[in-house]
Amino acid sequence: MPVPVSAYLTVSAILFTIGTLGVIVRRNPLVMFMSIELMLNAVNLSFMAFAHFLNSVDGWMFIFLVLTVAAAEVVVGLAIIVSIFRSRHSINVDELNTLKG
Amino acid sequence: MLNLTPLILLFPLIGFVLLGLFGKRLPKALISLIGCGVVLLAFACAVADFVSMLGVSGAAQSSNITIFNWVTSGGLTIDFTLLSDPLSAVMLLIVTGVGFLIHVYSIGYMADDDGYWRFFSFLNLFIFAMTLLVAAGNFLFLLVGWAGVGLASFLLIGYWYTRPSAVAAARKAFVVNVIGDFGLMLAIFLLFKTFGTLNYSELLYNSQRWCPRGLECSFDQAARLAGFAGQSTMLAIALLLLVAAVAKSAQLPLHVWLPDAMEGPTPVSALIHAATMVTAGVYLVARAHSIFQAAPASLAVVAVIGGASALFAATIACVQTDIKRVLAYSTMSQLAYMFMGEAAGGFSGGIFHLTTHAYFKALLFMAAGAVIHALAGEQDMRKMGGLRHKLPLTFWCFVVGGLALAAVFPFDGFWSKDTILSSVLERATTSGDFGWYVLYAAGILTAALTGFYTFRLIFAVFLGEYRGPEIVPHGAEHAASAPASRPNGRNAARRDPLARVREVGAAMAVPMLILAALSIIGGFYDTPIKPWLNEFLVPSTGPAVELPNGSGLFWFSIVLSLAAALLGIGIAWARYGSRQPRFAPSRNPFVILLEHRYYVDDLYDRAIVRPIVALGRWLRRDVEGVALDGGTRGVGGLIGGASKGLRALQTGYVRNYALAIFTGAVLIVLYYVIRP
Amino acid sequence: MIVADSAFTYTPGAADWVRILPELILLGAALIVLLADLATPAGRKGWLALIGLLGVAGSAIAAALLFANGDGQSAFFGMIAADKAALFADFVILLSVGLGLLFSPGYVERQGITQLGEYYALMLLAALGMMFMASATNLMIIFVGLEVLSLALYILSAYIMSRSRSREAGMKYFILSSFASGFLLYGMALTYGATGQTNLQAVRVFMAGNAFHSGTGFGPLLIAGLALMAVGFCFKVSAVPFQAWTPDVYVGAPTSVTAFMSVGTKVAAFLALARVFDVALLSVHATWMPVLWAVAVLTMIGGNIMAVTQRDVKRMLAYSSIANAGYMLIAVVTGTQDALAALLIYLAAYAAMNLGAFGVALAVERSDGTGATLDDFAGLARHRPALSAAMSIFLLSLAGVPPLVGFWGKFYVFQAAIIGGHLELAIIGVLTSVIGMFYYLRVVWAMYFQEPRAVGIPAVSTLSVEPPAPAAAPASASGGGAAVLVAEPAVVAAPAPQEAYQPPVLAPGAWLGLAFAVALTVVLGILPSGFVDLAIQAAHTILR
Repeated sequence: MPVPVSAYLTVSAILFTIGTLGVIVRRNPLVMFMSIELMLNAVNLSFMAFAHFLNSVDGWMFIFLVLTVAAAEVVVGLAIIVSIFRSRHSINVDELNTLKG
Repeated sequence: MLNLTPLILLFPLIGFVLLGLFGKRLPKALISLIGCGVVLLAFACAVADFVSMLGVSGAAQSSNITIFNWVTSGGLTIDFTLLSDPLSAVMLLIVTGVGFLIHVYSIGYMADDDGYWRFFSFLNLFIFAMTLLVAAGNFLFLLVGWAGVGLASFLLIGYWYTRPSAVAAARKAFVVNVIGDFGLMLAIFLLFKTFGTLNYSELLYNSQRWCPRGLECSFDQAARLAGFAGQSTMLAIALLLLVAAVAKSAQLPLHVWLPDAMEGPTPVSALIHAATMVTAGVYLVARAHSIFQAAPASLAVVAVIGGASALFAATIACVQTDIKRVLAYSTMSQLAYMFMGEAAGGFSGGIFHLTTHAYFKALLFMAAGAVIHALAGEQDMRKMGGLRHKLPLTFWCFVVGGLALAAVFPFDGFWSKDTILSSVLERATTSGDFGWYVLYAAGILTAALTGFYTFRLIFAVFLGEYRGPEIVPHGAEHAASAPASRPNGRNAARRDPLARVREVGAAMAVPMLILAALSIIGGFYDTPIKPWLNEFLVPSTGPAVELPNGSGLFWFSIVLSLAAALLGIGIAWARYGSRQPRFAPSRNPFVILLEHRYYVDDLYDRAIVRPIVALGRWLRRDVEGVALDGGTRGVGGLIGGASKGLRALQTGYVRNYALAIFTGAVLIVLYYVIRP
Repeated sequence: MIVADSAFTYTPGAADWVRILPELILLGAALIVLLADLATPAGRKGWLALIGLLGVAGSAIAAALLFANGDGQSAFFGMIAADKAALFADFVILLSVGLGLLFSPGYVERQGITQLGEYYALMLLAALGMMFMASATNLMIIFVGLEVLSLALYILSAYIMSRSRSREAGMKYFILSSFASGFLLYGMALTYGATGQTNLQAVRVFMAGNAFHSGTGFGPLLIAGLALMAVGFCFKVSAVPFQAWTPDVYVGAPTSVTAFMSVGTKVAAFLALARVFDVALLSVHATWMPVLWAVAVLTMIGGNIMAVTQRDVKRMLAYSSIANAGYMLIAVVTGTQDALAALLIYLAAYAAMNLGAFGVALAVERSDGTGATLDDFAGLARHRPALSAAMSIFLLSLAGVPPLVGFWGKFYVFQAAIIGGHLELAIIGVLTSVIGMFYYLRVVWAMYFQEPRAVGIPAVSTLSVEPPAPAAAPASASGGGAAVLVAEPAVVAAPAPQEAYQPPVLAPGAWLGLAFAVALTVVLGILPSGFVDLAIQAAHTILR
């Protein structure tokens, strides 16, 4: 049975929403970061579906770029998180609010 | 024809730049030389322009000089154009001429001030901006000059920035002026959208451009503009221009800044807040007369504002005791006269009164400055009196200026005020409209009040006996803000408290004498016998209303206004001419009303400022109260309050920010979902 | 639908590489800086800034040559445009990174930044990302450019590792920006799904050629796509309600980085925004216009209002940059050719004056990153007349006072809005600029008309290059005298922070940068015709 494109898109939208909510409700930047990765991969699912059903290669190219960027973000993000952990032995983002107003 | 207008602008600019950059290191003599010299050079150029303009006639008197092509792109062509025509020539003469005299006066007045160079550089900046304002050939450069004089005025009102009152006054002036700038800016955008040009020569003076093709074209520019753009658009433009004029010229209801602006040094009051900048509104209405005539309803508004402001200010001036504030309200009242004349169609009459007012009001401010200077900063007339013998020159200058202000024959104020009143009366009799009669009555009543408050001031200051403490001269008025420097009256010898009071030096006396001479003869260039200025200005301000010269109505108007002025002077003599005038607090409710300036300032405070501040407090009730800097209130209070409220959303928590982004996204998506 | 296989017959040639020459030169400079860092001894890292500046200059020359002589074609099969709009944007970005590099030596050492080689290289790489984003004509390159610049800026924001504020700024920027990138990317995916294209020109052709472009006829995919892209872009240009990160990051990041990113990011994001919405999606203008309209209004009002009560000048400038984004959004909403020219004019004007203002804030700042509040600016004109004069010019220009360059930006934007039928936006813009006058002029007021506040703020007195003049005390009236008197015991009681504080002597580079910014602000204000013409030419190419 062929799976319609709408099924891929629905799964992708659900994953994206889960990722979004994860960023909003979680306090641990690592988990927030994983949620962002979830969002990106939900988008990748959409790209994949579109590329397949439109018979267009652009979507595949986009996926590679997204994956590369996500890897780079991991590097930078982890470096910042680690440096914060080293100085305050906690990575609760709710404690990061000296800048406000 | 000669056209040196660019030089008139260039010289003060050079002065400003030189003094602003190097003034701190220059000796005082050189600062004075540069500061006054550049204005004198500008004046010389203005005279040369003017004389050469007399040699030609008609259309040849108006010429545009394009300094450079400023912008030619984006459907917009704006040249830096200077328009040289009779109106700008007269205005340039006044601005540079009176400006030069006041510069010279400042040499004496500010001699002891630490910021001497700063003062002169600001003055030169002002002259530059003001000449740009009156010489500009399109509305955009008018706006540049308009904002420039506002900035210079702001800097000079707050010149003694260690006084909180001066700072508050500068802020107030700034806020009101920004309202005016805003009106002018919107008027300009609307003009550009409607006509696609901002040049005077196309918008204001006979141009075939606005003739609808195939229709018969009126010769009258106002009718053309109205035909091209429609009455309602023209009315909107005219009213927006009027907002700007009213704010700059301190008319009701935007007058509140002018009396407070007296916190600036007295030469500033003479130059900016009497002779030149405040008349920019009068100039704007005269310049844009075609626009106002294209929407006659706007001229009715001008008439109402003029009449109301004239009476309003004149009555308040009758109870003020600070001599500079009396003159400030007098300025507001005289400017209102000019607007009255313009409302009646006598645009050249308004400009005529502008010129005579520049002479005598500058003179009065200078004389008042001389008194303040001699009395070491005292400005309260209750603590003066009997100064006639100590300051004879100042006294006589004051008398000449006072007679001119009260419009007594043959001083210059007489001729110009008479021109305005006759044009209003002429308008009343020809139109038969009751409103014009009311305006005329207001004008006559104001004339009587003018005589009263002027001579009340003169009598209280110069006649009778001295009522103040002993005077220890120590420079200009700014030093008086430190009360500790006052000598203890008990220790000082009580023989003659005025023993050390000296008449002014030459630097201050000569300008006063020149202006006194001008106040006597300055009206003769436009008399009913030979209305020369009126005819000279026709190319710029259009044909004026026919005055009923020589008729019975004419004599009636002259006699009535003279009688009113003399009546006012007589009452002043009866009350204040005696040896000891009484300044006891009055229980008369009307006087109390006047002493509170009709409660307008209080009304603004209660009706606008306080509710807004309260609202602001309410908005920020959850936030630590942080006082607004220096008490910027009013609109600032509202915005400040809102600012605190919004900043409370800026919690510093990443997750809140993410939630804000998410909420924004959801709102946008929701919009598309529920969109019809 | 284009069939996938036919697209790959394209072979890149030399012309393609020439068209991205400015980017290549900048990339080369970044790599050389990284290499030279290994060979440069610790005390002489200022040379790296010089190498960077040479790269910037070379890149600018290449951009100028392309602007004058280039064929304006796009490179690599419609991936990157080398049109005049892109090159104009490249100029502005190069200006901002150039000034950012000029401000850096001296400042970065004072702030305790050690890894200078990477610092300069990252500045250049961020600029590279910005240039790619501004030139991109394909959704992929927009995304890649955005991520290149963002990744570099995450690191730069958090660059002062020893300072918690800087780390916090980096963290916030990182999480929120990747979050917003997610939205942008999802929007791109849905747009791609709806149109089958990622090339903007192809999207435009698809939209124009489709029968059901009645505005509402497009499928929900496209509408969701453009809504989500709007979110992503609005985050990048810091428009309300996606602005929350801006003040925190601008204050926490090193000021030299803030100065650079506040301009560069905006240029890149606005160019991409204009290309996506005003070029590719122009035929559904009526569909997206209300959303960006609302965002523009909220941004103008919110940004200006929130700036009013800020006492920290850097934070005030951050809110001011939000407000300025609102004015620029007017141009995007209007979407006509005039409006795009106005956008470019505004961006160029904004670059000169905003970089200058941050440059002065950076010069006043103390080594712990604090000390740029109104109190620190009070009386600055006494000790630092040139610095105060420069700051006044920048702030007056930001306030839109003629004849400075900021006035022209506002003038053209409002004019384009009125002609383009958005009178209401122009009125809101003018009204909110009046609010802007208050907070800009308050700083000017503080510098010229306030006594230095001596109590508890040692910055100002020690800030002067010349020794504090004893003559100043009698000159000031009672208020100032009292403050001086009160200051004495405070100084005696707490000498420690004073000794720790090094009076900032501006490095020659910073002076040069400020002088350059002043010159641009004044000269382009007085003689705007030339650069306005360039902007108009550039705008012609973007809507082709």
